[in-house]
Amino acid sequence: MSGAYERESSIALRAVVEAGQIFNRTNGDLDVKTKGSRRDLVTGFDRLAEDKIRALLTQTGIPILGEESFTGEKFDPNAPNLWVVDPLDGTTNFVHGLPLYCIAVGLLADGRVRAGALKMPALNEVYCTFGQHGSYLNGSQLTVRPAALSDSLSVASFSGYTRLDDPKVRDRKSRLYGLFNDIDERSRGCLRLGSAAMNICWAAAGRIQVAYGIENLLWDVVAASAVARLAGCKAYIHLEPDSARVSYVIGAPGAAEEVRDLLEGAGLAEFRDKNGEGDIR
Amino acid sequence: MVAWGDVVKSGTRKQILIFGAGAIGRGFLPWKFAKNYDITFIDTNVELVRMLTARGSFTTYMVRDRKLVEMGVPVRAALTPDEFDPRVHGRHLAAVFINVGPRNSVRAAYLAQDLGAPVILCENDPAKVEDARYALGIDNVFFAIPDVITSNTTSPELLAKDPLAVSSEDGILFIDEKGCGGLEGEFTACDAAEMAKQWTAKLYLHNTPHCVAAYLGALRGLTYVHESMAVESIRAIVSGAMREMLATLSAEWQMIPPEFLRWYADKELARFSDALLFDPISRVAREPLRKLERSGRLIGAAQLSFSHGIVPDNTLVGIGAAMLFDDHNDPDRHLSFMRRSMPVSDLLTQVLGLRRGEVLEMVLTRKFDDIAATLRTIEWRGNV
Repeated sequence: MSGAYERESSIALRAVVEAGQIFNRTNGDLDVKTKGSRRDLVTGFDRLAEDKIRALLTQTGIPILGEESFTGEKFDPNAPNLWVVDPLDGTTNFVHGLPLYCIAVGLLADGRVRAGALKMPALNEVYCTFGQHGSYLNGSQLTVRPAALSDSLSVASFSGYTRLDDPKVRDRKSRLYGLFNDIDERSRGCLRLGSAAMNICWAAAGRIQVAYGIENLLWDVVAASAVARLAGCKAYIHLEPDSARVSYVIGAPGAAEEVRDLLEGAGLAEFRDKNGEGDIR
Repeated sequence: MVAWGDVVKSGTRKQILIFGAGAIGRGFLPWKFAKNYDITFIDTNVELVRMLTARGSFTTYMVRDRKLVEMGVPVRAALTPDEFDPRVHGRHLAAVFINVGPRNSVRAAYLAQDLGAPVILCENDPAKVEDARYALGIDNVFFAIPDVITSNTTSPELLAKDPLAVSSEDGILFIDEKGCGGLEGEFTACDAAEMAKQWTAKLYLHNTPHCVAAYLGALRGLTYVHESMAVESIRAIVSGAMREMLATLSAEWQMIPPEFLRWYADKELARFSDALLFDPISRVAREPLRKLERSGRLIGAAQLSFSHGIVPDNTLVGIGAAMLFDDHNDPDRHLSFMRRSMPVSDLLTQVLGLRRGEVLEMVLTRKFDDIAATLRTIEWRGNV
């Protein structure tokens, strides 16, 4: 394979397909633990999947940022190449038996999303980039058309805070839900589905016209954003300095800009990339 | 070229619109209708449209009694879809023919929806007729079966005389009789039963072995289907696939006379081998994901065989060859990328839509390495 990022696309695809086999097991022993709050879960599957993915990616010599191995250390988002891995996005859905979860392996190169693959085992869907030629769902090319927010279905991803005794947290929550209501009213409805990566993939597939997230994590976003970009989506992503937290708006041209402006207007994000090209710098 | 001012003169010949100035559009339909109608082409190939407009005509050849018969075809107009204006270009219309490939046919039909003339789809997929009717909200869309091998090119010698030249064999055009009202030309109007019989034969006794020949030839680096059939090992596999389809159809459709099926099969094998037709492998093999659709000529055909207890070993080799097809210019070039990036079983279930554990998935997963070994025996030049 000789085109730009074709090799990386292929490796990402292989990784999610192999890791996806773990989720074919049906013994039901999920070994669920919480990471920080009752909403932040991790299972034995997350760890197994990440180990399997790492075993493949390590062979490339490219550094890896993975959710389950991240301990808050500094990493360089502007590195020439960086694998960004989420072995199970939508863990809470998975634990509760909802089929809305996915495995994501993405590549950041010089601070821009470039390649990625995701597998949704329960839905039998695989999304991938093919170099810079395009992105695909199960072999069908994805193409996104412009849309106005008023004609759009939108989807949100933000944390439901549990520490409501903290006034700052209550205020933050109020602003997040205020924005959610605003977008809900301006669109055909705003959903919350529990997997940021899946949301963005569905924007790439045209099922949803715009996906946004506030205080998500980088590994939720990279792989799916690469897929979405190559499908024709605009991808506005803001990475908070010295952290792995991101806010983003990704979707059809038109609707994405409207939601981006609403996030910025609410003071909840500021996107330096004004062209929506998946630049997180 | 006819000037548009001439269009409204009384006595002006009616015209037909042909969407798709390729193999069927230039190579076949003019032989059936050019005596009766002027022809306007609509095609997305800007260079082709420019050349047809500049030259105002092209040459089409037909193989008849082992000789090439030549016909010059005047072109009333050649347009891109953007240039097509139904109010201007859709007048005095007898019919609209669409042969742009199943993936594009409904989109093309949108341009023809308000013309008031029958829209006749010469596509390798009868389901597109219903899709078009539903999408456009009209009933006057009909299925046609060009029973012909035709090419969108011809021999280098004939192309040197006319770069727009194409060649075809002497085939038959079957049209749903409901779409034929008032249409003049050389075609056979068929009732539903006859259309079903002709389509069954075309799908399994033409389309299946034809693309098997193409995919095997592609692996060997050949250019034309007749070159592929000249390779003994390829011919043996194609003939084997034909026998499997004959056995399958005989078991599935007892009301189709077996002598018709045998005659059809022999006719097809002879056609594939005809060195006077320059049928490009790239054309027959294009869009392998469409050819590998679940209900289609390869996977659908194999499933049908299995359902009758027939193990279609040669058709399975054809499926393997299609999965190994690798043309960087093909719209489905990502198939080879995905094949290299995932296990066979995942390609079959994730991309080709088979269910894990179903018979064909299990057989192809287990036999894929054997199939690849078989393909290597025909000295393929493919790159796995």
